Amino acid sequence: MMFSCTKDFKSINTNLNAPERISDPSLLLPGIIWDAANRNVAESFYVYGVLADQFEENYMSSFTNLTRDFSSGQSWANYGMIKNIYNLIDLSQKQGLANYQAAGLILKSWIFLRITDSYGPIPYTEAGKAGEGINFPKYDSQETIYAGLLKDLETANTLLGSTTEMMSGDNLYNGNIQNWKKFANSLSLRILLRQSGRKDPSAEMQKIIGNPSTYPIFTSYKDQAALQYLNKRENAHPIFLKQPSNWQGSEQLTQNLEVILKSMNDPRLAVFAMPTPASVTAGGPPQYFGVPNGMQQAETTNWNGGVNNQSTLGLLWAPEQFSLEFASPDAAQSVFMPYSELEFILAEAKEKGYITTGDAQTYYMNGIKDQFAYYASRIPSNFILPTAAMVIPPSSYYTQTNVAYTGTQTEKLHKIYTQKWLSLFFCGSEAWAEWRRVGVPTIIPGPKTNGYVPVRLLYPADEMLQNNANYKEAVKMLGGDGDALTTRVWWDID
Amino acid sequence: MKQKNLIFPHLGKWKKILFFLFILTGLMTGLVFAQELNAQQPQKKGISGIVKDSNGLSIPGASVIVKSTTTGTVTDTDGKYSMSVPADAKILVFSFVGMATSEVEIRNQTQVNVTLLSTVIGLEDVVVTALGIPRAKKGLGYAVQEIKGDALNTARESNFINSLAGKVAGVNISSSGAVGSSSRIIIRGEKSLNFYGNDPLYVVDGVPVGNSGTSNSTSVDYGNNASEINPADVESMTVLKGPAASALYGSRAANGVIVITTKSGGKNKGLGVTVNSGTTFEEVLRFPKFQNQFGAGYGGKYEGSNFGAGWSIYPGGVQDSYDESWGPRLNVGTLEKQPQSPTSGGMRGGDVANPNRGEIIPTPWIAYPNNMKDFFGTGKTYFNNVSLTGSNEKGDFRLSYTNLDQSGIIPNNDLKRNTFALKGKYKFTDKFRAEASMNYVNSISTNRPETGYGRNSIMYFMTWSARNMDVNSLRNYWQKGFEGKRQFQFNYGENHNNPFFYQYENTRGQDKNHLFGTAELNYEFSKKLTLMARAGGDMYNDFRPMKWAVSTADYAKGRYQEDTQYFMEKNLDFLLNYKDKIGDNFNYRISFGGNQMNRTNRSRTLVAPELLIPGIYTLTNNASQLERSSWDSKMRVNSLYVFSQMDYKSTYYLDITARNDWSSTLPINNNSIFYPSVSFSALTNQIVKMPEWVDIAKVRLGLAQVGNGTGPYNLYSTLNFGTPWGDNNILYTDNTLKNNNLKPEITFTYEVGTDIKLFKNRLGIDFTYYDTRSKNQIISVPLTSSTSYSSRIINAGEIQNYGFEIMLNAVPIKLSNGFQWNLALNYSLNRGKVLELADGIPAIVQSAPGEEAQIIARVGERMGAIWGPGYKRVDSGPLKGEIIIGSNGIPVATDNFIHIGNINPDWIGSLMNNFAYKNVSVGLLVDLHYGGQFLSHFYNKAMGSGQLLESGEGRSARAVGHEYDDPYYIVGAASVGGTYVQNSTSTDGTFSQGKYGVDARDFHKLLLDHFSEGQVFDATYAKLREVTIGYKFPNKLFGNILNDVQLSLVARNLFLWTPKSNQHFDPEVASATSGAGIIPGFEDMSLPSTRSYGFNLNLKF
Repeated sequence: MMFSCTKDFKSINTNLNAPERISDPSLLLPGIIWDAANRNVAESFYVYGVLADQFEENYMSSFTNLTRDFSSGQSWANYGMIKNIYNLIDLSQKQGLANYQAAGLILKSWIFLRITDSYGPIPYTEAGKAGEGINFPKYDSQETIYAGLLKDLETANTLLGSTTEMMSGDNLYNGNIQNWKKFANSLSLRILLRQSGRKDPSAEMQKIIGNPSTYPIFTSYKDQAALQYLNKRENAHPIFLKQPSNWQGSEQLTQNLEVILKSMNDPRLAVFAMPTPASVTAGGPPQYFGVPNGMQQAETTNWNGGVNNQSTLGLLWAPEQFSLEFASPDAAQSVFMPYSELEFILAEAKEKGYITTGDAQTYYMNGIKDQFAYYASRIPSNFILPTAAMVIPPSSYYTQTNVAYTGTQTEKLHKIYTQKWLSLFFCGSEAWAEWRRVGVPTIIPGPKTNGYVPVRLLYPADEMLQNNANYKEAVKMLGGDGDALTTRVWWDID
Repeated sequence: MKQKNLIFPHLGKWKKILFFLFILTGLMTGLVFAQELNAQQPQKKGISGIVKDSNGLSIPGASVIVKSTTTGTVTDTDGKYSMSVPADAKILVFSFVGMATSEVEIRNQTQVNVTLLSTVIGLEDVVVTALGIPRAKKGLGYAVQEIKGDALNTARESNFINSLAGKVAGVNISSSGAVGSSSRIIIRGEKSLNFYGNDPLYVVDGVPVGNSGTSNSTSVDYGNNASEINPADVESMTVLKGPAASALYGSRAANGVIVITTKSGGKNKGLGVTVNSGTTFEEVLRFPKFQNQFGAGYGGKYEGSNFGAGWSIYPGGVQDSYDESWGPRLNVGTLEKQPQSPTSGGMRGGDVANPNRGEIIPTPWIAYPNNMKDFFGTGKTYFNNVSLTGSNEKGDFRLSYTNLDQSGIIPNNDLKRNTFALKGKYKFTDKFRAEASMNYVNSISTNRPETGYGRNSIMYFMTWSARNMDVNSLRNYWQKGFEGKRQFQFNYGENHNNPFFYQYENTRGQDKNHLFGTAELNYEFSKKLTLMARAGGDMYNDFRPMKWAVSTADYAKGRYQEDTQYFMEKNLDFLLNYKDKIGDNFNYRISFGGNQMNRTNRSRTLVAPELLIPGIYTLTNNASQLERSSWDSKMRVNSLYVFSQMDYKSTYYLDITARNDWSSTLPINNNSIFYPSVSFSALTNQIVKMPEWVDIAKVRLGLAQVGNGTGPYNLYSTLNFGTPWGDNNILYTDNTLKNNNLKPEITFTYEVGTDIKLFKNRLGIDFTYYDTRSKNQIISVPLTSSTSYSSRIINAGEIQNYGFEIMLNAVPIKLSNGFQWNLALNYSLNRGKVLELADGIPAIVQSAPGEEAQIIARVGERMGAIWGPGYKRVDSGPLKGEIIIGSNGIPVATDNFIHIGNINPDWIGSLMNNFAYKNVSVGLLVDLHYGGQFLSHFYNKAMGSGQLLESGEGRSARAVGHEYDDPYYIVGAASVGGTYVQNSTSTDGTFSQGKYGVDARDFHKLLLDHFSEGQVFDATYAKLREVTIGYKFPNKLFGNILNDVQLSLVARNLFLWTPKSNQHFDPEVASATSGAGIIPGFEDMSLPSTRSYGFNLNLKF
């Protein structure tokens, strides 16, 4: 009879579409890396490249669009992946799969660093734990978070290689345990230097740099942390599928980047930007001109005689529809941390005496050279401008005054900072973070801004609405101007 | 939100006056009564019979009078009468309120049975109630409202739901405008925080017909299921508004029930043939108004060359990649090179892919005032229905075929719907009877329109074009020499699709087969005891092929997608009835029944993301990896119920119902839900003495508790499949946290009301007040993003809805020459209030369809509130209240979201007038939605792009050629060293003096972008909803072949009135389309609404 049928209810209500649990971590790892990589690209493109004054984007460059609503789509959106990371760490830990667990911890650190650097105090210890009933996560100070990140990276370095499982599904390093260790330790150095204004990094840095067998670090662009996209539509570099109008129409090279690159005769100019349409039409030597950020739209579009005399971003990152012939789904990578950045970290650390190992000039030069080698390796063979060969500068590049490791310590540091800023092109929020830390290069807020370049982002609207009590505590913790674009984060001391 | 006045919350003084005027118009006209007189009587004879309505349902309380005498009686509860009449009596007059009076010659008969036909909407005295049980309306303890099929089948809507607008008090309908698109219907307010969980239940011939989510994809509205109900097959429709009326439907009853009875073979002996044919034309009713002074470009500059095509061999022009109208002045005799201009190569300027295009020959720089409107045409709807009926003493049957053929106001948008309906019953013996009905609907569309903010929607294109664009130049939508390969676009820079290209090449097809019906057996053990067993089903298979041609903006290589939606709901029922009386005065009925409902959903999507060979749309013509997704679900609800109806002396009525549901979607230990209801009514005019002009004075009270279950699979979280990385599969943790402790939602309600009929049923007033509390809502509460989850499913919250409804029916004039004026007024006011949400959650975002603005439920506030960023204002001093202008020249946003408005109207009223004189009848329905707000995405963007009317005003006040020289100043308060000064001291339309200025574009754009406060409009509107003029040809004209030939001129939505502040939009269609249905209150590139007019012909053979 029909009323005996309630005993079937459990089977009727068993989800036909998806599993309630899994045990294989290789089903989680690639999705986490992929999502993080795509956000890294998108955020560089739409906001951080503008804040670092590398990309000119008229819509963004007055900073009035950096609203709470906008904010939730930026680094903060990385919180969405935290539950997958916790899931990965949890199920690999339970099964004693230490390599997967370590990869999870490294990605966790990388992601939380991105978030806290943009906002300041953020939910950390209680974040991503709604499954355990924490619906209103409290905010932690950046100091606490930084300590936690370093601890996780140390743990990861220890865990890696302690078990023997192969990491399949590892789209970052294809299961290379040693490379994961390098990423963990290099990332530790990034974190240590960033908080160096608050905490003396000497002991921790020297511990790493002085013991390469326990703490290996990157040795070239070949082991740096970067996602190699695939030559497949669904796994392509995210900008490959974008509208050309969102590419050439609104994103230009900044004048700041143009002037700095030109001042050094830097071949990266041809990588970062495309020649002006006018110079292409004229058939003469390619010309590159950037546009200042933060002008009135009219001034922007009329700058230098109009859009025909302005350079858009480089062909390496171009969307398919911009050029069916040249645009590539996999030529550009999403760089989580470049090798050259590590070398500039070490150069600064040595220059400031945080470490005793090595030579500042060598670090500095390695960093610069690797940049050219890296971009030369990325340029597809069918490119006409630039070709891979064009990216390698003549030796005179390294001896010119603007580049040679000479001068006072301040001048040397300025050169390190400038080269680091260049090396962090299209690396998420890193160029902006470094600019905030060291103030190089000089960025002049445009006339359409309210007179400043933001040094943090606003907390998203949903935090203010749904997590109000903790939000208020966070604003107190922030100090400064409160939850404003002008309040400096903890490590941003000057 | 203070609510000082319960009856008129939020209404200002003049609004109250307007409200009273509205009511008074109805009342006063209703009191103009022309009374008739009667006369005398001699010798007697006995006569009896039964009075029924067109449904074959008996009419209690009908008056039977011997013509020209005072002799008469009224029918009893079974519609029977018996009396003695003078022997020479010749004619009996049967009358009943809302029914056409019928005169019957007595001759030698002692038995005279009649069927009365309705004249007034919603005033039948026998109505179909829950479970399809016909009841005398006077015995009901709750409000119901009935509409006759005829009222829906003259001035038709192709979406059945829309034809309810203005006809039922307490019902609020919003739609999205396009042909066959869906509608949102809310009865007595939103009871669920789940924005899409407020749909009523539709029951056709006793069996529920699903109306759940339309499962739209890619912003295409595929219409909801209930929209397919065929008006030509509807005999009557009853709206059970409150839970007291609908409690027998248990967990599906919370939002009210629409009970539809389809036509049956009826009373005709032998063969009856009915033909019903209608033709209507649709045209744009309300269209945004555009400026016609400035053309494409920026900062007053424009020179066409490659129109933004960076890939073209032609160089960039001057500001010719701009998809906005901030260019030079139009109509001043200048010439420009434009996309539509001819070239020396014999092509159009926009044929930029062709190397032989040549030089563009400049053409006059003039406005095309109708360039948007020219895209729209006249829609046509042909509706044809033929039905065959027959009956004998054993049974009856009806077979009906309907063809609807509709083409929309936009190119290549159509809907062809074929409906077959079969209904019959047969009496095997006096005790055993079988009935069945079957409806098959096939809906085919070559292309349904896309809406929303994207490159595929028409109004988006209208936003991002220019006033000098000749839309007709886009009709030939391929670039010369690149036919089938590269579309011709007005603007290549921003890469907007050519709308003709999109409409003809990128079609969103549909082929939907929908079958629903019921089979029923009835056995009468005795006059007192009967048993019914019924099986019903509702099933559809909806196939949706979608094409993207090569060179489509987002899919350069083309794309093809197939969606298939399968839905099946099976219902098994039984009902045992026992009916008896105790003594002469106490009647009762007790019923016991059960139901099992099984529902299955299947959805499949397959995508070929890149075409191998252009122009061929199959899943195998694929140059890339096939994308796929699927979703299956099952659920079951078992129910048992018992109910009884009692009446004492036909004066006091008491109904008690109890139902228990067991749902598969709830936790096993918590899956039983009990729903009781009690309702009571008394005819006070039979208890205390009242003036003789009082026919009925009923009071009623209903109490009920109903519920709302949940969908399948809300108990346990899963990991979901994502796109693989190469060969590596990927799963993601669900963004929603499920909950295995769910309880059912509970809605408790009471309603009180009166039902008064006066002056021999010439005036009827029905008043209801209700209060509904919905608790334990099963809602997906948003989690703050730092939890890493987007939402969790919980039981929480309490929503209160209270309000009142007035239905007034009157026959103000009824003359002996046959002239009659009938009037029906509906008025309803509902307030939904959030009493409680979950612990620690002060607010829940119910829907966020637009840019920043959101529909937010906040504790203590009204449901439907729109929140968003506003303008920061000066809080003290002489400039208090002024918008603060930042040093960048634009307004400063508020730190927090502010309350912008409410998507719900303050009240809804409608007035139906019917005039009949001999063979002519005229009907006029006016519908008024008062109050409420909507935001407009189109307004925001089209102002920013310099297209809308207002964006031309300031510019045109300046001298030609100097419109962009000096800055414009947004009026407000500029901060200068800590004090505020006025930012603009000139208001001559040029805003030429001030502190902080911006260019013309920023002046308009940045005042609106990211400021929800600036995008808000009053949603008040009145519509002349329906006009019908009917003429019934005299039967003698057609001999014996034809009878009842009626020709009607019909019109819908003929006129729209909105406040002056809204000159651009029809608030009724100012809605966003989402995957699960319509979101009112957010105009999101909505297609313009339409008016329709045409004619309708009814024939009976």
